[in-house]
Amino acid sequence: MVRDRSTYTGLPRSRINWFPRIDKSKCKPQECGFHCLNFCPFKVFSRVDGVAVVAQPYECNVGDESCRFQCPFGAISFPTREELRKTLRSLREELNSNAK
Amino acid sequence: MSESKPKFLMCICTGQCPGFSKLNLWELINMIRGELDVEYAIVHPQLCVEDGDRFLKDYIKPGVKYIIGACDPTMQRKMFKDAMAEVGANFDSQVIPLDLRNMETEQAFQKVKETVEALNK
Repeated sequence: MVRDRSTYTGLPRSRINWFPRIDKSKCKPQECGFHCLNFCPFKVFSRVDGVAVVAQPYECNVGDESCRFQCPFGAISFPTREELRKTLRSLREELNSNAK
Repeated sequence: MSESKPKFLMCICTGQCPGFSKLNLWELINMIRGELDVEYAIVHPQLCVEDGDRFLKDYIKPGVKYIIGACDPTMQRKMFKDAMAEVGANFDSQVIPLDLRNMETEQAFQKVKETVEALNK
């Protein structure tokens, strides 16, 4: 069952800034063999000119940080849960007030 | 001292009950844990039968507030209070039972939201 990923709990996915960030100074793809790219089922990461990049940020599963634990060099980070909560709440309020 | 935030339990009546057919369980549970001030939000398939009893006895702690999204509140009381009493907990003072049957996901979420906000005032 392919789920519509353009929304997350009814909110427009493109308005939710949840996706991984790669710290270039820590990222060593030649050593790990692109762990993140091989791990992510949503194809968020890509290989460009020999480095790992976040190619499809909004394909990332909201609230999912499992790739962060995959990176042997700690190069991947995400927004905090509190930042995510604020984003979701304000979007929800905006959506509900537009609906009225 | 009771923990400040309430804990949310969703009992989804095996997942087959028509009463929850309009509700997207996983969307609801992620909305609750992602947007509301709850300690966490979990799902149990059927609290009202034996393994539900064993779960409640293993899980419930005195003094903690629980919001249980399930069926009719009077039914919830009847079904859960004994198991809770066995471990020194009190249904009436610790549980806010919510009937979330026959609701769309957004409607159920609003009901839980209002309950959490009233509790955390």
